[in-house]
Amino acid sequence: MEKGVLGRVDNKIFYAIVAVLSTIVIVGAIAWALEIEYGLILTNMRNVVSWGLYISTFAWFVGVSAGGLILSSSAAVFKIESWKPVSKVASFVSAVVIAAAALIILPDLGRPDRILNLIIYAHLFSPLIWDFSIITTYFIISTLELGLLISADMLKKAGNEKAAKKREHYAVGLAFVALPVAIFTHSITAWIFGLQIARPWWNTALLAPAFVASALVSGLALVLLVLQVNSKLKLVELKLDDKTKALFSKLLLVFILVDMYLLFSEYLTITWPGVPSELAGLYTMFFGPYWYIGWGQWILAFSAVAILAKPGWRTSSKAITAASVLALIEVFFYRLNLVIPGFVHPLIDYPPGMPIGGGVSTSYALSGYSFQIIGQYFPSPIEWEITAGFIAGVALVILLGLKYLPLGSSE
Amino acid sequence: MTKYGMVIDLSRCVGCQSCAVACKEENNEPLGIWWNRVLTVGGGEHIDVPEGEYPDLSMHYLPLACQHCEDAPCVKVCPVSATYKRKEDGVVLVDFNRCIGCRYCMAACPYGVRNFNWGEPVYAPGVDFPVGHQGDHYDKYNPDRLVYTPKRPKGVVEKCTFCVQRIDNGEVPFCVEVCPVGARVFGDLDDPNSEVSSIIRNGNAEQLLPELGTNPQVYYVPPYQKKDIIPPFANQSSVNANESVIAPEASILEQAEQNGYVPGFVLPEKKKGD
Repeated sequence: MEKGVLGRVDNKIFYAIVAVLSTIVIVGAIAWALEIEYGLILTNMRNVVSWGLYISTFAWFVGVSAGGLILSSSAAVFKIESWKPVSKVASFVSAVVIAAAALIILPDLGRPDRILNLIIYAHLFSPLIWDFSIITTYFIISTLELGLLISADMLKKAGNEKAAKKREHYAVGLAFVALPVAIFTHSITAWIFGLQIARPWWNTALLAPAFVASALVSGLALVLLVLQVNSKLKLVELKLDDKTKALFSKLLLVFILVDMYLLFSEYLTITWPGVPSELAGLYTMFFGPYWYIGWGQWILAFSAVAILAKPGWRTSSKAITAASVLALIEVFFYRLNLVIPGFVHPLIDYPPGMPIGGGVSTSYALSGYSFQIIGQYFPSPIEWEITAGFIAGVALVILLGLKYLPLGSSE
Repeated sequence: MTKYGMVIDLSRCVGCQSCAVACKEENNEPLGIWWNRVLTVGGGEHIDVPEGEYPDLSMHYLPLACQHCEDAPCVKVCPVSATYKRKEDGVVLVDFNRCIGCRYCMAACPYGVRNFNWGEPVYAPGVDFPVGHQGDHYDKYNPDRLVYTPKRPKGVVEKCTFCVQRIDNGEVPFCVEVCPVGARVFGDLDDPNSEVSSIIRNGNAEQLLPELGTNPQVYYVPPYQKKDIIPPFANQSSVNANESVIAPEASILEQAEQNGYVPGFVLPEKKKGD
């Protein structure tokens, strides 16, 4: 079993990071407690824009979790030996992030206390039930995969080659299941949105492919980022040669380009015919109140492409770190650009518009803002705090896992 | 089988908002929640603003509440079947005790008629008692389903129920009862002799956003507009604004019928002084 190879100085940095992340998690937990006490009125979601930062982050987490499982199972299914050293880290990252995706639904629910209704009264026609099932499966598979890989390593160390081979064999078998499950996890998450006729901005057959593509971008980006952080903090020994690094960088580049291509095709299909209800979402994305997120997504994508296009930079850890951070934020922006503009222009938008919903204070209800024709939304401090808490929590668990779990390369 | 539906005659609607207020009262809707609204289809961002320039103005009202769709997107997406379509009479209801507050139905509804309780319900100052229907109401056919309560819990979705607490007792929805111009008709769409059926059969009633295939059980008779009845005159630019461009009364009726207008139910009275 590998032990962390921390030096004294690294230790300090590590614990400083852990302390900062823990603080953010605690702030998020307090915010969540407040939200449970007072209700979702503490968020800025209202009847018109009725999903916001939480659901965007949920969709982002689902995508980000892709990389690990796809990487480790591709390594097994296609027998890519050079990827195997990072298989365990990749599966671990997948399991952590998909768990976070499932959990961030809770602060979005009006009645988290009734969560078991999803099992007791499951309505099998609902895409949400499909997603609930596939995410649970995905979590179990990535945890199992990780367990098999770790136990195979341990058996090998104990000299029990035969049993270890058997475990590895199971891991390969599981990988064959994991790959299609991963593809469906992203597709079903897309179909939650894409099947809705009430939201022309979402209602496109291209959404599932675009979700798979963007999942590959953000997923691979997170694995690359974790590898960079790991080598900086020297937590686990991973045997990764420059050739593999360059290959990962190239893959990231290709995934970003494919994703951009799909989105461009979508935008063109909306713009050229110019159907107003279809244009509304695109217009909101680029010229609405969130234009900086709309354009930001593309600037980030182009910047990441520019970095990765230079062959010499594909093995540079600074360049890889920069490109993967840009790619992660780009996909986060994509999720925001998808979820929120979908709500801003309701199909029926005559005055006075839609009421904002119950639980608002007397003075607010009597103000001129109790109806909205065009949806108004910007996340409230509570939403930022809870979301930041989740993201910090993911980072924290990954860091602690790298330090305390046997995730290093075998042999 | 019964299939409850409603026809709203837009040519009769005067935009008085009585139905919206009556609904709010009968169902004890808290501040910020409106199951039923009267929208202005005109030219502004505010209600009661017509489109166009004098004298070529047009405006009508669109009372909007749950459409009780036959193929309801909200029912399809609800992960726990808290929103369900009652098979006995086709009314779409929400079970206050089962809803988990995920708001997927609000994303799915094309008509934007669903309301969420973002926090504990707040009422106008001093109103700490139900002003309308008192007490909980459980679905007549599914007695475990709480489909109406004056004290809604925070964190659940609600919407128009066709006044389920009234129709379960043989009454009509409150908006139908209070409409001062009789613009709303409620009845059984499956009964060919019902008033709603005969109006729809006469062919002039439309559904909202029919292209989406939701097949609402609420129908609208299109509004009666000046251009509908006087096509020969409406486009004459030489007509002086002070001159009457409206033909004699008998001829209005004739021309309206020629334009596919259904007399008897929908024709508005001609304004005096024209």
